[in-house]
Amino acid sequence: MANIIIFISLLLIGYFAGKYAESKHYSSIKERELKLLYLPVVTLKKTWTEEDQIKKSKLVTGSVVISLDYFKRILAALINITGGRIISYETLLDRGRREAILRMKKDSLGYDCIVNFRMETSSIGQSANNKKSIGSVEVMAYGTAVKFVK
Amino acid sequence: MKYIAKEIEENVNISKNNALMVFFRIIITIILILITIYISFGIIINIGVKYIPVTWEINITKSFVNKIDSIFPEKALEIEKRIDTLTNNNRKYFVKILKSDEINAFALPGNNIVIYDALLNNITDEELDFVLAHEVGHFQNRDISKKYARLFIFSILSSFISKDQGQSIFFDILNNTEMKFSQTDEINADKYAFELIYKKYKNLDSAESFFNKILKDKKLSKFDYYFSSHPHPEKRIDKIKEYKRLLNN
Repeated sequence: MANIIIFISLLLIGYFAGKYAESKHYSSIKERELKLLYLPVVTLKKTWTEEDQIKKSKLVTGSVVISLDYFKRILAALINITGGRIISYETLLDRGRREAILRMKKDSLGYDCIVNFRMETSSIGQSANNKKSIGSVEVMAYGTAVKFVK
Repeated sequence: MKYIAKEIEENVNISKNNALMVFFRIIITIILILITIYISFGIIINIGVKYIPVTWEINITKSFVNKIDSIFPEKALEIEKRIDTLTNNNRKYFVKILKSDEINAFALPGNNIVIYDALLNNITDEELDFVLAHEVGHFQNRDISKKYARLFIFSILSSFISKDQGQSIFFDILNNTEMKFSQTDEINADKYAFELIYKKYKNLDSAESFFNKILKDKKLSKFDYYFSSHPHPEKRIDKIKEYKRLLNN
């Protein structure tokens, strides 16, 4: 009986705390995306012509580690049994990707664009060796920030 | 190439499903499937156990039970003879007496009855007859075989659920459900015991005095008994009164 009560308590705490953290993070992401919308990020190797002159360039990176709450972890485990889209991982990875890009953009303030953009994801923490589930995810975004001579 | 900054209006990477609704939908589906499996296996076991000969059970459990050393072998033989008298030599039962402060007796597969010496020291011979008749009742109803068959099947089922997915919760819920089934088995074993005791003594005084002793000794509330494998002693005394009414009619 104690196990059931502990499980339900963790579920409720995970659901409400996770929902609050997620909505707060998304608000912050949207706000910062609007501010940094002017800075293009492309996967192309170059966006300039022969006439453009590059003043400076540098490697820029942004990385973030995000974890699932208990409720989403249990939901993912249940979907693993029945099959289908694991919706709890969708928001995790979406937030991770967008936050990593924002941090990379922040690293390149004063530059004109970021080229050769790449992104990598990896599991970390206790779930790193467990192929059946993910708990914490690290997303790393990197590219080359370029400033042109105007 | 001109760069035009465009705000993301709709996030195409996130499903529109509400996580809570998905969670409840899956939980309900899994619970319904588990209930269906539980009921189906319960029915199969209840029907199938009748076709397993008792001699098979005795042979399978012989090697395990022979390792249990009885502390009073002569007393155990005497109790076996008491059972033969009670049951009219219907079937052979084997008794083991073990040393323990706990006042208890229980049945093991293969017609084996284990009695703790504390029980023997605290009840009369007539009350002992009731306890023995009650255990024989379990064997007659094949309760022990069903219980162990269910345990075996459900331990296999639980191996499909990992610790992360709530194996301990599955066991908790299963255990509480099985306890309720067990209480029904206990009532039925009591009914069988009433018949045997009445045949020998023409009354059920030994059963009543035995339950009154438990009532005085344990002092547990009806709530404590809800999750127990045995019904509350008061409920069992009520069943004695019910049986007496039936006899009078």
